[in-house]
Amino acid sequence: MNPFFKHSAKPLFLIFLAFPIFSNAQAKNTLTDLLRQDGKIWVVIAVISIIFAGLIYYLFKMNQRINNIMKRK
Amino acid sequence: MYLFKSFWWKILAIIIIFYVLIAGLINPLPRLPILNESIRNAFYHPPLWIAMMAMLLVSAIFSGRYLAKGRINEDLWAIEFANTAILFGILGCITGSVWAYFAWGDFWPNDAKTNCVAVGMLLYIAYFILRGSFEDEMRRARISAIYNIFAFAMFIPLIMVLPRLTDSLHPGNGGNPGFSSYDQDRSITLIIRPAFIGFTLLGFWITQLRFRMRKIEKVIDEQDLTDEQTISI
Repeated sequence: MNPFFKHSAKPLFLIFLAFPIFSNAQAKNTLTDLLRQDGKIWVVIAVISIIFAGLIYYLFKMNQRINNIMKRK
Repeated sequence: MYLFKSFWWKILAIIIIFYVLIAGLINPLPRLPILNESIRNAFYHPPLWIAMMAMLLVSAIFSGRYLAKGRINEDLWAIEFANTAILFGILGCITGSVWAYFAWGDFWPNDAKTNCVAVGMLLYIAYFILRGSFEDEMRRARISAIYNIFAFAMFIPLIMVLPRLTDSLHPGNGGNPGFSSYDQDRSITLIIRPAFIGFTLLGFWITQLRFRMRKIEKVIDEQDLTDEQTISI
């Protein structure tokens, strides 16, 4: 048997075995589909995390500005 | 402002926001087609706008008080309220965009309310640019206070009146029924009204911190100035 094939048969077989999963993943499980699952509850989660991220960003900027004030003092 | 010097309203804000987060995710709500569970966004997206409008109103009031009394602190309050309001407005735009994609099928539907609010936010960005263009403190405070009052007087018709005159996707606008028509058992009202108060108080809290920061910055600036003057003398 070809040594190349001998050593690569097992991983190749596994990859081919997994191929339907990968191809399925590309066709269906995009981000928008993920967010549409479970009655679109993930949209709500996304909205809450956006609000939280925005507030944290604002606090972070304020933190930097206060650091600058402290340095000047 | 004496009432707001104590901390009770901050605890109130925390309690209300926890209530809104938990009850908003758990409580049973009317089952609507297309919206499904994303109706729960009604507790997190509209309160941002209500808080923004409340803060812009307070900002305009402080601008008016500055013009009447001429105390520079009131100008600082006005700019910080406008700053936090625009933060809430930008968050409202992004969250609304996400919700719109899953409910209406587009990130920025050509809706009267969204377009008008974009114009309104540009008005306030012009306010920030106007402030940045003055060197003299008194002149900056006075002219931007006048502009702030005009901007608020433009903003409310843009966001509240115009969308109701034309077609709009938003509930309660352009002849659409509001959420209240699906809400026989008041399950939405019981969470959304506290949410309005909670987000507004949170905005006030952030604004208060920003105001204190700006005031300290100003004091240090003045100290530096007097130090330089004494050295040069």
